[in-house]
Amino acid sequence: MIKSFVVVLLVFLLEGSAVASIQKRDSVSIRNFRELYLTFSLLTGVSPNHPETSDYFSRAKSRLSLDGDVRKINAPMTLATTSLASVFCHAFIESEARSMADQRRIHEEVNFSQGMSAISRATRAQVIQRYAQAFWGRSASSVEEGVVLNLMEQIEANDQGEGELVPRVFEASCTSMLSSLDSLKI
Amino acid sequence: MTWKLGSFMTLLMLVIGGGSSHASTSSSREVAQKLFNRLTGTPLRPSDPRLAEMVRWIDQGDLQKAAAIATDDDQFYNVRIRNFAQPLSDREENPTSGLNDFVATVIGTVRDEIDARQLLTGDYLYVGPSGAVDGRRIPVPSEVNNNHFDVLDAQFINLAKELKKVTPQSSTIPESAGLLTTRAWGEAHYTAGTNRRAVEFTFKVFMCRTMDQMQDLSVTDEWVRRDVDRAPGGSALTFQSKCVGCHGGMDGLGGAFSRFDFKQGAIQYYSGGRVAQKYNQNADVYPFGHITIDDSWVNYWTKNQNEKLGWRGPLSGKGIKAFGEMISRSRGFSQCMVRRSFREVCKRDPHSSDEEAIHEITEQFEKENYNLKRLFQEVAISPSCLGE
Repeated sequence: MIKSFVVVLLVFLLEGSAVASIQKRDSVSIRNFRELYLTFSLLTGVSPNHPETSDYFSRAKSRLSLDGDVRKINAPMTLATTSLASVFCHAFIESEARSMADQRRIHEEVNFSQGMSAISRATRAQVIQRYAQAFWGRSASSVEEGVVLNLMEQIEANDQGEGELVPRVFEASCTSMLSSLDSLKI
Repeated sequence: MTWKLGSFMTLLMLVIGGGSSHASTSSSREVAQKLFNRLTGTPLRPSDPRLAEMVRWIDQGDLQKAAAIATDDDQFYNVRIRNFAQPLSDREENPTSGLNDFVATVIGTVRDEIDARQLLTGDYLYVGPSGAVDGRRIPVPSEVNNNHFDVLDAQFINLAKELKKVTPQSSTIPESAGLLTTRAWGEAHYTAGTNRRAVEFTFKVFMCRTMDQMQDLSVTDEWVRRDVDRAPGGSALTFQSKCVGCHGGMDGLGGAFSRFDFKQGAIQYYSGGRVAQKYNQNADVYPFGHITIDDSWVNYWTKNQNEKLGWRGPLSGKGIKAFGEMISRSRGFSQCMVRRSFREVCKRDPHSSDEEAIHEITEQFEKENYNLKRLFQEVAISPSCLGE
């Protein structure tokens, strides 16, 4: 974990701080609670009426950004945002896994009933690129793609056999990308 | 979930960092996406044909038409206008509070391009569908509870599509003044107290002025009611040097709300020449003070710093509707709507360098019959808001 943090921090420093650049541009802000909820719904295709997402939203909305002010971003807000993204991703992946492969939005090449070892690195990378297009409206950079691939491997390595691994791996990847600043900024 | 939250946080940092490498250059496409994001609170997918259409208008130099595409999206009403109206509808100014008749009426007014002055004078309300809708049961709107709007909210009913105008506003209140006679406003400002809060919040919400900004020590105490001590702490000077600045103006206008109270979940209206009992309570504090016998009012906040609120038309009258007319006719109301929409769309308060733009947009807003939808478009495309 520490090793990954150092790597991530280095990349973060090399890439430059987006937060700092945003604070310089006062016209940039993040989505507030209502904007965020409907944006996640739009990006994942999960209905805003979905019982799990609406239940979580009703409990957590006061912890999400109320006014979109980037200066007020704090740890509880970040956690609530990430958690909301994870609830949407759970519903999204569940729906994708239930659908026939050719009717899926993103995971056409993923066999949810097999183990992660059956999913090649190329397929994983393809899914990451599709998440990027769907959530960010752009391709993921090679650095971004590498980090999400690394996250997948970490989850796979730490698997303790709790439930199905494949959906969990993709839920985590989906969550990390959906809750990133590219989806949040307005 | 066995994967660690810490991984999320570090990854989030990375992705934040990664995102910065795609910092913007000012292209028409980015302007289109920015306009759409700002006006709807949601992104416009690259594959959405509206993006190309917006880009085309931007390339032709017609930003207004590009903005109009964004304001045609349902989320402009469900998100942006909801965000604009929600904090105005309750005492705590809480953006997360639930949908109510006040908010629904603002959304409907914007959608149907009704003159914004009607928000303070109109005899109408916007409500959603009721009964069995798509297998869900929605209660009928009621003047004694908010259940109808609570269910619309919980079911994420598409307000942009489903709201309908109903008139008259109420079956029990003979005098309607737009938002000032909605149940939500009544619950927020007519509950208990003395109804002075209704005056305070009218200025706060619709004129963007706090009592500190309004207070004027030069006004007369002629209308200050009997429940206000003229020598607080034993000092008459305190009243003359502090209290009268607010009470002189506030009590002068308070008569406008004198027929209103909020009890048992509903607005209570006092007809037949009666006024709410709270207006004449604690009469022994200063027995020579003003006795409220009807709903007449007078505006003393018209001089000094309050002159620039640009009052137009009668400065005294009878009843809440006439009061709403005076407020909505003022330049202060138009400017406040512009400032509020600027804050909502541009995600910041106007700077001093934006004042010229605010002035021009206010002029335009009044010329275009106080059309709030057009106002949001104008604000979004203004160089002050759009940036470089």
